[in-house]
Amino acid sequence: MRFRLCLLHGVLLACVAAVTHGADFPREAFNGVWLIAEDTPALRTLEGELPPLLPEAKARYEEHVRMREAGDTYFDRATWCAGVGVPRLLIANHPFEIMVDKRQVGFFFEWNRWVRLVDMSGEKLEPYYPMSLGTASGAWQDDGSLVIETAGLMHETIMDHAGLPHSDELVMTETLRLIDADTLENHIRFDDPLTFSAPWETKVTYKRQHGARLKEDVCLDRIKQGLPPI
Amino acid sequence: MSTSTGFRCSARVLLGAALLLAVAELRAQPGGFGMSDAPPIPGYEPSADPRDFSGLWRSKPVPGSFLPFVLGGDLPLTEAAKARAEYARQMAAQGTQLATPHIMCRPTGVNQAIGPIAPVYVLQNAEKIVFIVMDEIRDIRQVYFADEHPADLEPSYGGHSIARWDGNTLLVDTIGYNGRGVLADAVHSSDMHMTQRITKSADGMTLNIEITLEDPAIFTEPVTLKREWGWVNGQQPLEFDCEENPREDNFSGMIFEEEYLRPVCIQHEGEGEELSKVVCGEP
Repeated sequence: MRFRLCLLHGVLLACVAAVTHGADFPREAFNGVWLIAEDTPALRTLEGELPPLLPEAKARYEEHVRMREAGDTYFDRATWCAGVGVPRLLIANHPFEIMVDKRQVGFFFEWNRWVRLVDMSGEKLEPYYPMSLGTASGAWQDDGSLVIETAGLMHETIMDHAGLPHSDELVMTETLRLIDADTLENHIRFDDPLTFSAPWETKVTYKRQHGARLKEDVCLDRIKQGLPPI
Repeated sequence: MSTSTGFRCSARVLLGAALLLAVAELRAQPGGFGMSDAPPIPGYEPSADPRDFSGLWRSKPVPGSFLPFVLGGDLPLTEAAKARAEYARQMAAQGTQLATPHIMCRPTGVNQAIGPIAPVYVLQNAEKIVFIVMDEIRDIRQVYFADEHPADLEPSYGGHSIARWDGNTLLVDTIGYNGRGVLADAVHSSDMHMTQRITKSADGMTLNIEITLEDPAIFTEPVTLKREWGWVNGQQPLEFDCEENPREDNFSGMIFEEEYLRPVCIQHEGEGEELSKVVCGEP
C-alpha cells in the first residue's frame, strides 16, 4: 500500500526506503506465481563457495557430479519422477505459487503437482516420518517476513540438480521477504551435522509471474514423450 | 524410503486387496482412509462464515457402502461403457489388472473430486478455492471464482474449474478434461461436464455436495450424486509419492490398453543394490 502511495506522490527516496521493508506489504502480497530469478543448478554459500561438506558427503557429491556428466542419473530420483522435495523444488526452473491462508501457507509447485503446506498454527510440528517435503512450521515476523522451519527431510532426495546430498537430520530455515512487489527473497540456512561440518546459508530470489497460472504438469507423461523429467 | 510411498502396495494394483485393506482400516480407524494416524495440529475450528470452506474435510462413506469413493449402483451407462466396465470386472476376477491413470500415478480427475480417499485441505481467498489431497493420491484442484472458462483451455486430467456463489451455495463448473479419466471402470470423454453445488451446514461441520455428471460417451443421461464431507480437526499433512517405487512386480501381468500408460522406468527386483535400482528404457 505504501509503495502505491509513494508512486502517486512521486517521493522517490521515501519509496526506496519503504519498499525495502517487507512490513510495508500485506501478507497477501506473497500470493502469486513465482519463478526463480537465476538458474541455480548447484547450491552455493552466500560467499559463493561449495557448502562445507564432510568428507564422506563430499565424496558422494563428487560421484553424483561425475555420474551426471557421464549421463548416469540414477542417483537422482527425478529421473523416474519421484518427489524431489525441498530445497530442490525451491530452486528449480519451474514456477510455484504461494497462497496465504489463515491456517497454512501453501506452496503449489508446478513440477509434478507437488504441494507443500506450511503449518501456521504457531506450534513447531514434530516430523512424523521423513518425507521429501518434510514437515514445515511457519511464523510471520514483525518485519513482514515469513520464517519457515522444515525438518524431517528424507535423505533419498538431493538438494540441487548437481546432486548435493543430505541426511534425514537436515533442518532448513527459510526467511522469505518481499524486496519489492514483484521480487521475493528466500534466505535459507541449512543445518545437517551428518552432512556438513557447519551450518551454512544461501539466498535465492524469485520474480513474480504476472497473470500466470500453474499448468497441470505430469512428469510421467513428459518422460514418455522423451522430455527431461525436471 | 518413506513409509508413505506410491506403487507401494498391491492395494493399488489388486482391487480385492484394496477392499480388504479398506475394511481393515475402517475397522481399526473409525475416521476412515488416509492419514488416519497423522499427528494432530491445534487450532482447527470450522468457520462460522457459511462462505468460508477453508479447513480440513473428509468425505464420508457413500450411503449404502463403507467406502467414500464408490460411484454407486444403477448408473445409466451407455452400452459401450457397460462393455468396458464388464471387461474390467472380468479381468479383475481373473487377477489381471488393467492399467488406469489412477494406478499409473496420473491425476485422477473426476474420481478424486467426487470421492477423495484421504482428507481434503481447503485453502480459500477472494480469487479461488483450492482443494488439496496430500495422502493417498496426491491431488490439487484449483477452482477460480469466475463467470466463464478461458476460451483456450488446455485439456488436462483434472479439467478446468470455475465457481460462483448462489446465496451461500458454491456452484462449481468443470470442463476441459483430456479424455483419459476412468469412471465406473469406463473411460470418460473430454466432453465430461461436472457441476457441483456445495453448501456448508448451519453448524459448520458438514459440506453437503450435490454432483452432476454429464458425458454422453458413458452416461445415457446426467447422473446426480450426493456426498457429505465432515469437518476434521487439524492433522499433519503426510505426503504420498506415487512415482517413488515403480517396482517390477507392480506391472507384471498388467494390461496396457493405452501405450501412454506403459512405464518408462522400472525398478527391477533382485539381490543387491545394483540389481534393485530403477532402470529407464526408451519412452
